[in-house]
Amino acid sequence: MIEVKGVSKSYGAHEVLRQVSLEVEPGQVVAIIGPSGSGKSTFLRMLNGLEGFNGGSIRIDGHDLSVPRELQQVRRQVGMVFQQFNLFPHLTVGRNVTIAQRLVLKESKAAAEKRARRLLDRVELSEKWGSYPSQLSGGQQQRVAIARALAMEPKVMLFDEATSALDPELVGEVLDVMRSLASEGMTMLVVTHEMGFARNVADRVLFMDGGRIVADGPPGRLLDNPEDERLIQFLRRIGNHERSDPTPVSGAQPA
Amino acid sequence: MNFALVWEARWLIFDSFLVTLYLSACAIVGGTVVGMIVALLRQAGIRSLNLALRAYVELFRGTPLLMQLFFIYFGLPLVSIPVDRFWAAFIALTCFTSAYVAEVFRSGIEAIPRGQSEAATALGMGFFHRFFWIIAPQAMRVSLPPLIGVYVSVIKDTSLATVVGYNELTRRAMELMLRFGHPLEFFITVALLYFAICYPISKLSEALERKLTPTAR
Ligand SMILES: Nc1ncnc2c1ncn2[C@@H]1O[C@H](COP(=O)(O)OP(=O)(O)O)[C@@H](O)[C@H]1O
Ligand SMILES: [Mg+2]
Repeated sequence: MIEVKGVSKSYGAHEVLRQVSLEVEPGQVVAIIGPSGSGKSTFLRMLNGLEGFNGGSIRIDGHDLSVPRELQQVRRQVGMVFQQFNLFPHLTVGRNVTIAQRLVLKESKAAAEKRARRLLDRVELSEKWGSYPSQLSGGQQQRVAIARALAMEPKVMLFDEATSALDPELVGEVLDVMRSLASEGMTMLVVTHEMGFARNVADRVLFMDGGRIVADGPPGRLLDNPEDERLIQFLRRIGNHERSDPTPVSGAQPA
Repeated sequence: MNFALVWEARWLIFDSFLVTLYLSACAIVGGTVVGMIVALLRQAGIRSLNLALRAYVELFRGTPLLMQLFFIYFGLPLVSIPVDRFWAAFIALTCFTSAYVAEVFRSGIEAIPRGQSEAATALGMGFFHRFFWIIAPQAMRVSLPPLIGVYVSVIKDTSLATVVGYNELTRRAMELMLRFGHPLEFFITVALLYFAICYPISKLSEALERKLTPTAR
């Protein structure tokens, strides 16, 4: 599904990504962890062409990201959810979820609204159809943002710290949506500080540091028996307490 | 004071009042359209184009409107573009207005968080879709109060079209004064007419600003 080969990225002399390679199978849920500034966001943003890259190649579902014509194709197939939600504040919730369907996919109004209602129903916000983003809580806004991305029927979903800007009691409702998406077989790349999510939902965890993927493996091995010294330090620093706790995730129960 | 004279000339004055409204409306529409196009093109991020557009904006903001009127009225015929009085006034006012409108839009656009454009891009929206559906509507909201300020100036500045002999309100007042004397009466009347248009619009702008500010993020 995703094939990244030897990709680098620099801002001036500052090398942000160094020779990153990665293959992700369809349906795989990959959690990306790592200290701030390690290049996680840059890497994610590269996968839908929000950032260019200097060397190497990226293919998503067979489309080559370095070909400008394919870039539009890729963007339709890759949904992205941002830390700051980035809903369109001048549009209602309903219009937020239909606008790109109408403009990009050229869906009819009826078809776009039908899909939007189904997706808003799924994130349990169907009653907010006519509200504006500023009238919603952060958790609700992020769920709308997820519905908005899903409306393009992407094959891959990227989440960049989707819960980091939320009050702790609102984190659970967003993680629940992400979890159900994962269980339905969506291919997901999730940059997160929620170790519970990484441990219990992800099939695979990547640890990035200094622009490299330093460790890559199943969450059990990576988080419980880390070998890399920097990973050990990182996990200690963020307090990786939930070692053998099977019922997961800070705030999994919605308040 | 003898306002009986003014009353007698009321239809002449009213007629030129309509002419001023017409010229103002043309200049506002023209200036807004051109200003929006300039602001849009500046978003494309093409270096040489940006340079040219900045030169355009600075030229028309940095020289007196009076000079611009003269240059267009006397200059364009020299390069075989015939302009009558209306067109000279219209072109000069449009260029002048568009320079200010472009700047208002530019700062409005810059006030929109980058994440808006990125979210739209991530949804597969292209440059024009992003600009017209996501960025421009939000920028418009921010820009509306200063934009109305520009419009009020334009209405007052149409009085300068007098110098190319265009028969708007100010010129009519001067003609009447030359014919009948009593300059104060005529000019007080004309000033009141300008005020009658501009004051409500200024108030509207203030009200809009109050209404828009608390909801702005
Ligand atoms: N537009 C930019 N210009 C210059 N440097 C940048 C830019 N964006 C990110 N960086 C740098 O790239 C590095 C990685 O950033 P980022 O991908 O945001 O890391 P993370 O998401 O892991 O915190 C940081 O050192 C950051 O300062
Ligand atoms: Mg980041």
